[in-house]
Amino acid sequence: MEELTSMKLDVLKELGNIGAGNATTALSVMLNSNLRMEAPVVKMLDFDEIPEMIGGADAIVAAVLTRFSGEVSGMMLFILEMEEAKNLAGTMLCKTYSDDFESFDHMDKSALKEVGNILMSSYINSIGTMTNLQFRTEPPAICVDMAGSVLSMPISQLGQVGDKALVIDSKFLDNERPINGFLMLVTDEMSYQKIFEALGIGC
Amino acid sequence: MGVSMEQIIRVGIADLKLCKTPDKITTVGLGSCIGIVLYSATHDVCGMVHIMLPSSKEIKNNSNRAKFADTGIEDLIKLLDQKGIKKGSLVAKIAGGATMFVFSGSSDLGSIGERNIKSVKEVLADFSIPIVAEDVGADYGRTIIFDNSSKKLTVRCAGKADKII
Repeated sequence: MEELTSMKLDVLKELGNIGAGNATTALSVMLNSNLRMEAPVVKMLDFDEIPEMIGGADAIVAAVLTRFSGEVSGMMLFILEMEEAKNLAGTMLCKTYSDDFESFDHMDKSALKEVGNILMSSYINSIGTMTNLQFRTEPPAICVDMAGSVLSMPISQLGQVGDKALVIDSKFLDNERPINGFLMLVTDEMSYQKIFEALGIGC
Repeated sequence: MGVSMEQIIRVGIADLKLCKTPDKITTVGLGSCIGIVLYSATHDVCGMVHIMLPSSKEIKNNSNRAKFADTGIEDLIKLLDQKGIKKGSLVAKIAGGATMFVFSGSSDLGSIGERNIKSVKEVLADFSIPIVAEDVGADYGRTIIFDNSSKKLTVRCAGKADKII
């Protein structure tokens, strides 16, 4: 896992490209806006480096997490800086928010959870279509808290097999304005192996 | 002069460190992970470990010992022992072990946070180290700061007032 060849990295990048491309289209339609996606970056990170991608371990973020299982299993996260989460939920619900942590209520979380659901389902489904592997996604859950705390769930999952995380970082742009958030795919070595094999890349 | 600059020592994920008074020691953004502070009433050195998983025995890749409750606590005790602090004089304060994501209709056999809490308590009991204060469980993240001169642990949560235990 630590020694991924550049070819395999390219494959993962392309998976990210297609997955996030489909996800962006789905979200653009839902929000009736002009969303674009930057070319995804595939990074191997130490656990402590992951929260740094989103403002540091104590930055408040909103994260939607979906688990999938079957021939490949793992989880996917859609993580947004709090300001972006408020923008996105505000666009959907036609409202504005105060700076108060509590002002982002149950309804807002529910709206954001649905955005995450659509994004990640289309991402994960496109991996399924490309690889012909069978797996199903579970209904997502949302958490608004410190980045370090939120990420402890995927990180402890990854910690069972290693000390690094492979992050497919897909950034979005809304009318050329970068949205500070990313999609993160968390899966195990065996699942990656199956994905590579399904795409005809030997080990 | 005589004015010492006190520092705040930061413990990362799956990491452990010692701290000497007047410095303070902290770990940021505990979720399902647990921060364990070990200190003695009479010493100016204390230690903190930020564990991620309940047991090194369940997992093949266990070279990073600070990642697990069992080996992380054991190593911290050893480090403190090297500073002349005997196990028998140690007490513990612990925080973390939250369940950050709650899935509808989930049939998980206990969340990772709950399993971490159970394991940390068992390991500390095995070493006969009493837990004198704790703030564990629930569904929110915690940042903790330990001041060894007052022996107080500050628990900071988003949107809540600080709690001192």
